[in-house]
Amino acid sequence: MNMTTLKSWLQSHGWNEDAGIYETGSGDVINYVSYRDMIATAEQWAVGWRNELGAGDSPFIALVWMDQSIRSITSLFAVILSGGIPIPLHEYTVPDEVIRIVDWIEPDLIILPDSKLQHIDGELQLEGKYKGYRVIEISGKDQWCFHGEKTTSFEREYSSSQLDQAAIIFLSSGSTGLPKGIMLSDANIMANLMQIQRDVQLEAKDRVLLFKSLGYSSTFTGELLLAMLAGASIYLCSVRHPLELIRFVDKLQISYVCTVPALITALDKNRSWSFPSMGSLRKLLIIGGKAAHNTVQSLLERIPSTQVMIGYGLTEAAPRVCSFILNDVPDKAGAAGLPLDGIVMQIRDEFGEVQPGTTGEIYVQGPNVMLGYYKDEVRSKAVLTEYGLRTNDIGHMDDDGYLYVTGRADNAMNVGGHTLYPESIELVLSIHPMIAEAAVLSIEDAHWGERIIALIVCHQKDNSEQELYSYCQQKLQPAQRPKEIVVVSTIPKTSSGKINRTALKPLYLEVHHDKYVH
Amino acid sequence: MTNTSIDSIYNQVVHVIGKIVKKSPENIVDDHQLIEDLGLDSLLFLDLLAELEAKFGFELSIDDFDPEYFHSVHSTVAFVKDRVQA
Repeated sequence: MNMTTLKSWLQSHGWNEDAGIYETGSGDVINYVSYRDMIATAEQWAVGWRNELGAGDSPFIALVWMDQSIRSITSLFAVILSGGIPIPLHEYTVPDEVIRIVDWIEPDLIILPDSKLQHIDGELQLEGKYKGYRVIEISGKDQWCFHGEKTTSFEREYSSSQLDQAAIIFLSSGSTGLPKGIMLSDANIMANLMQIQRDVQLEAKDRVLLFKSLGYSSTFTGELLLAMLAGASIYLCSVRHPLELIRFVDKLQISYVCTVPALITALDKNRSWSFPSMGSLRKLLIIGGKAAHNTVQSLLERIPSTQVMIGYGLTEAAPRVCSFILNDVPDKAGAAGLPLDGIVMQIRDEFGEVQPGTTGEIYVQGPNVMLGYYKDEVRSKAVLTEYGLRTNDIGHMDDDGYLYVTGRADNAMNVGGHTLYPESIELVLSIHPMIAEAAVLSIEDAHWGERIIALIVCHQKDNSEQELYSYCQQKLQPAQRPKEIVVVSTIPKTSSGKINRTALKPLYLEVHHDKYVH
Repeated sequence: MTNTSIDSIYNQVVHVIGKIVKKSPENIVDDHQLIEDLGLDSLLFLDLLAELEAKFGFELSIDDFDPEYFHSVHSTVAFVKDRVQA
C-alpha cells in the first residue's frame, strides 16, 4: 500500500465493498454508497473538474461546503484526487463569514450543494461575478455544473513552500475576525490517521455515528478517514439532543461515537434512559474540552459495556495528541491522556521544561504537527518553535505522564467544544452602528462549558436589543453568538488602553446582580 | 385542565421560545417553524428543551424525539401540553 499521500492512499487502498456511508434522516437510512463506489465517483468528478478548470498541473484551492451528506464528502475527495487543496467549510458558516473567507483565501473554486447556492449565490455574485474563482454546484446525488468564467491563470499572489506541501487546509477560529488557515501535509494527515487507529483500534465490524461538522480535522481524520481505513461503516446524521444520540445508537446499532463534553453532560443529566440502551456502543471518545469528573465516572457505570476514551488535540496537530481509556484507570478522570505513539509532549514555563506536577504551557512534537498558517508567517513562526508546536494550552503532567489541561495562555473560550476568541466577536459587534464599544467574556455554563456574554457601550440610549440579537444571528456562527448582551456605561481598560479582561466578569456580575435584585 | 391553564401553557412556552431565540413573544406566531423562521440552531435546541423541562417539571425520554415534535411553535406547545397533562 502506497502511504505517501492522501491521494495515493485513496487511489490504491483496497476498499471493503461491504462498507460505506449511510445517510440517515431521523434514524432511517435514506441513502448509501460503498467507499469503493464513492471513490470511483470522486475520480470521475476529479477528471471532469480538472478538464473544465484547465488548470494543467497547477495546484488549485477549493472551498468545499461540508454538510452531512455523501455528496459533500465525495466533493472533498474529488478535490484531493484532482490534485487540489480542499478547504472544508462548516455547514453552519453564515453567508457574511463565507464572503470574508473568500476574500481572504482567494480560492480558485467554491463547491456548494444546490440548496446552499440558492441562499448564497447573490452574495457570491456581488463579489464581481465570481471574482477570479468559479463555482461548482452539486445537485441530485451526483450531478455537478460549473458557474463563472473560465480562469486562465492559477498563479496566486500568496505562495510559500508550506502551501506547496499542503494537502488540506482547515479553518479554525482566530482572534482577528478571520479564521486561521491551518495547512496540513499528506504526511501530517497520514501519520495522525495511523496514530489514531493504533490508539482506537476500530474494526471492520464497527458502525460509526458521524454527526460533528465535517469542517473539523477531528471529524475528517478521526472519524471519516479512520472508519474508511478500518473498513467500518459510517452513519451520517444530525444530533441536536443527547436523547437523539441514544435513539440513533440503539436504532442503528452504532458501536463508535466521538463527541464533545456538552453532549455527555446532558446525556448524563437525563435519568430517563438506562442500560441496555447504548448497549451496542463499543467505544465512546470524548474530545474538545474537559468533561466534569463526576459526569464521566457516572457514565462508566451507566454504560458498562462501553470503553470510554478521553482525548486531547488541536487542529495544528492534525489533530489528535493524546488519549486514554478511562475504564482502565478510572482514578485519572480529569486527565487528557498519554501522548499517542510518535508524539512527544513537553510542559514549559519561561525558564524551560518543568517537572511533573508543575503547570506550564503544552508543547507538542511529532510528524502530525502542521506546516503553518495560511498567509500568516508571523503567527506560524510564533507557534512552530524549536521545542515543537506551542499550543497555547496550559496544563501539567502527573508522575505517570498523563496530561491535565487546565487553561489557556490566550483569551480563547470553549463553548460546547468550539474554541472561540472574544476578539473576533468584539470585531463583528463593534461594526454595528448602534455599538460604540464591545467586550466579550464567558462565564461557566452547566451545559456548554462556557457561555458568551457581550458587554456593550451604545452610542444612544434608545437601542433595540432584538436588533442586536438578529444582527448576531446574521453575522456570527451559532457558537459565537452571545447568550446575553448587556449595556454598560464604560468598558474597563488597562493603562495601555486595551480591554481589561480580568475586570469584565466582576462588571458583568455587578450589572447582572443589579438587574435581578432590584 | 381548564382552558385558562392551557392558554397559560401556550403563553409560557412562547415566552420560553422567545427567551431562547431572543425575540419578543408578540413577534412569535403559532405556525412559525423553529429552525427556518425563528433561527433555532442546534445549540439553542438543547437550551430550549432544558428550559422547557425545568419550567414544566418533566423529563424528556428517547421516544420524545419524533421528527413531528419540536419543528414548529404549534407542535412544541402541543408536546408540552401533552406532557403536562399526562
